[in-house]
Amino acid sequence: MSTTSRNLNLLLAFDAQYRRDQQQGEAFLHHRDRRFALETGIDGSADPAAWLCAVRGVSAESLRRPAPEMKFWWRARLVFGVAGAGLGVATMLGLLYYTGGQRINVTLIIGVALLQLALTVTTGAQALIGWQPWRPVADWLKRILPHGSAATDADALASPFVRHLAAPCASRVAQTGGLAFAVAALLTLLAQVVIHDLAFGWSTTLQASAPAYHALTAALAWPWHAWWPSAVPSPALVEMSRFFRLDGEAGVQNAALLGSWWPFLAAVWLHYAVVPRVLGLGLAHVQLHLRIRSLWRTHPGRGALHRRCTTPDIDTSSDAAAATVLELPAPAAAVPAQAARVLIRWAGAGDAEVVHSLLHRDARTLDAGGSATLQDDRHTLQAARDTGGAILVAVHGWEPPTGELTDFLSLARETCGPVSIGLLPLAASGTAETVRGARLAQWQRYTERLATLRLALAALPATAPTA
Amino acid sequence: MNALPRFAVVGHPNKGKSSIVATLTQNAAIAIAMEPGTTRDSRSYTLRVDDTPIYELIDTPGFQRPRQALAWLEAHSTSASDRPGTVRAFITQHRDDARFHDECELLAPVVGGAGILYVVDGSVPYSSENEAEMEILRWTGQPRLALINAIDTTADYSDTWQTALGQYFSIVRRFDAVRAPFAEHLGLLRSFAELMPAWREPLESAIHHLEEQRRYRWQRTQQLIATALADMLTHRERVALHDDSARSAVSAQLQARWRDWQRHREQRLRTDVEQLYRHAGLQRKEPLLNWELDREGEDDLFSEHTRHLWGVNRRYLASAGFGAGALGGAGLDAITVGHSLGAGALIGGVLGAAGSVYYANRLDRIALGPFSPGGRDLHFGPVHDPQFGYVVLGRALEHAWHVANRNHATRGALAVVDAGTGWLQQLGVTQRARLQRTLSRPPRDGTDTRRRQALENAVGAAAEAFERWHALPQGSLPGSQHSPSASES
Repeated sequence: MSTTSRNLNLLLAFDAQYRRDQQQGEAFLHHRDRRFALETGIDGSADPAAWLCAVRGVSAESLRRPAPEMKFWWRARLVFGVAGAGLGVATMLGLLYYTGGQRINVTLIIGVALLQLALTVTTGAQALIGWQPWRPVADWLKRILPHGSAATDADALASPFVRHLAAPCASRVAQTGGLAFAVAALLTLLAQVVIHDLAFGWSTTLQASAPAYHALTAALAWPWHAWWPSAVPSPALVEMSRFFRLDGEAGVQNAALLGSWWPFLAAVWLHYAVVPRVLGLGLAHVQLHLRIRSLWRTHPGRGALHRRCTTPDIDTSSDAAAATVLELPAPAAAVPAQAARVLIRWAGAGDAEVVHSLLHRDARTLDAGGSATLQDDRHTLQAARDTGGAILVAVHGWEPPTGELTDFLSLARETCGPVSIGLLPLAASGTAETVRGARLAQWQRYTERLATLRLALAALPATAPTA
Repeated sequence: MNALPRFAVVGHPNKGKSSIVATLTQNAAIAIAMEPGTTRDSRSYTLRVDDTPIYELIDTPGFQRPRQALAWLEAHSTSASDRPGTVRAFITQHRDDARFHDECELLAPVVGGAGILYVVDGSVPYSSENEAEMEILRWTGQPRLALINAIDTTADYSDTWQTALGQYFSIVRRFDAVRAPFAEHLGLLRSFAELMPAWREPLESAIHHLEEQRRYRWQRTQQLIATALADMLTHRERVALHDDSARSAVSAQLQARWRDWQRHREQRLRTDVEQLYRHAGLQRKEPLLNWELDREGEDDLFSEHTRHLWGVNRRYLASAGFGAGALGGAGLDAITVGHSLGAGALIGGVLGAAGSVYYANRLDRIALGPFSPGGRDLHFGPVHDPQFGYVVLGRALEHAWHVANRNHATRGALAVVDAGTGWLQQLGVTQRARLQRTLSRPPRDGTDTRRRQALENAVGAAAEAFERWHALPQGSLPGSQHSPSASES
């Protein structure tokens, strides 16, 4: 595999990975690439091939396989090569078609060779300036031809990198077809020379003299006249081999000499059809190579990869799974607070006067929790038991229930017996409103968890005054 | 002592311990997932730089029975010198006791060598019920720091708390986990370093890396915005038209597709930026890009009302277009080594201004492409009105700025409002011209390095201007109709 093909496969594989990475989160990419950089010990630009192997989990060998996006151009090159060779054979057989009654016109063969030269130059120039008149046809063919691989999807074919390679790729395809045409035609010419008795001559409607025609052939033969003099037609040969169709074979003096045009024709074909095509193909290779290098240099993924590889990755995640959000339970029926005969303010919850004003006028207010000692709590419960009646425990509704509150409520049930015990989760210190929503839900769940204590949530009157 | 700095975040339930951990670890999942007071097990969050642990924050459950725990400690201690050992004995004794599960969970890392970060809520009055907790922490003998958090901003009892906490803690700091800017996060980390000299070096290293990470993220954000801008400014929808009589219906369909694509691309940018800052799953309230006229005909993206809102009225477009054209024309003057006497810049400027005004109001147009083997192409886009780029850029910067400055403890949706007009005025004349030029000449495709770099530079300059504008005192914001803030809802 040539360097160009290897670089091309690498570029397209890198571009495909870059497009895939654009669907990934930045944190994931940073972590992945920084880890790669640390494991491979690089301190600058990452080797794209090694990086691709690591990211895709494949061997370096698999990166050498032809890129799926290029399958269209590989196929086109094969088709053009085979078709060019076939057409070359057919064309040369047509040019050398010889029934024995007429001479083969040298001028026609020269003309076809020069046409090949013109096509070669046009193809090269077209690729250089990036003109792609064949583009709609190529796009249409890409759409209708089976891709044969999921990798060659529409996105891959629409990649600007694939599109920017189209011009040199098309040039390479055209030059390959042209070279196959020229070589096949040359071989056909030589074969025909060997197996047939060909008689060449020259003829033109123009008023061209033999010396002028000789000057033309001498000019054409300039590239090889020094090293292959026998392939340069002599003035005598030119003079003798002129013919006019209506003259028949009257003018032929030495028929054997008419075949001696073939070295010149072979040299013309070699130098004006084959060699330019070889150069054109070489130029297309160079152009593709340079385009690949340019695209490599400017690919936005390389800068991003470099940054990710060289910037430290900071991670603060926990190994523990995150807790799930609890759903709000169905609202439970609340008991009226006015029925309470004892109000216990847990940890100083609520303004004593405001809350007390909402209760029965004989209700007693006591304190527990907070800065009180455990002994104080026990005394409070004994006082509540002595008072008798329902007990209401006011708590800070915005705070979650603590274990000490649970212990206190357990002790209350134990101490006071089967009286009604209600919880009043207040919304704020200075108000007589209870919490709502998620905050109320935590108290609902709390009373459900402590079902054995037979607790109930208490509700204040709707017209509760605020402080 | 373990070389890795470890900090146990402890306190009464629901005082914002998890919020502080979420903000300092940049982990939104902590604050979002937890119901207040439901942390039952300690969770460790280690800051790792390239898999190397730098420091560890331990989110712990709140005290449940501090008075009972303290009573046990007092009953089992014989002298002041054995207090840390008594705390260790308490954990050993009650490890399997469900009643003291939370106390064991929060004290275990402390007796294991972690520094103590005791969190209180400065928005509620000081309560003596915390004294049992603080006394237990004092018994551990570990270095400790108190943090006054502010769960509610309507009340502030920080001064009272500061005085009370000062009796138990050598260092007392105020830190609003939801609203504290990034610089205060780093300041808090520096405070941690004061607890133990051996922790200073790793914490300074952590601060350095966090600053680098912030710079990297902001640069990356600008690149993401530039890429999205290039995509949106150059997008073209195509469809093969086989039947000319269906052109009208296909055109409408094509326009709808184009606009949906633009909205989708903008949403993708939002998600990318949020993921970059690890705000994945963030709920966002933001008006979609709107092209449709409302009843008064004023809310269309290209209406004069919108132009005025975004500060890119025709006069601005003309002046910026003149500058952009002059930049191009100046190249001609440079080639002639000044012999053109500035005519290049002048002509370029006039053409640029005329082009900007001419293309204003021209969102895009339906055009027929050449015949091809697949039928005749009908295509829509790319956009022609220069305002489109300004609107997309302004919206993107507004969103990115709020995401970059949003703490991970913040709950609720991010409501992004239109930024207003002032930020463009923070750009210099040359920068405006460059921005106009890059918006009117976006990269042709992913391989157009030169234009892409120019666009990234222009977005970088716009981002700097946007930051400067946000840093201005709110009352002095020039040309703004709004305060430069997003509201949390």
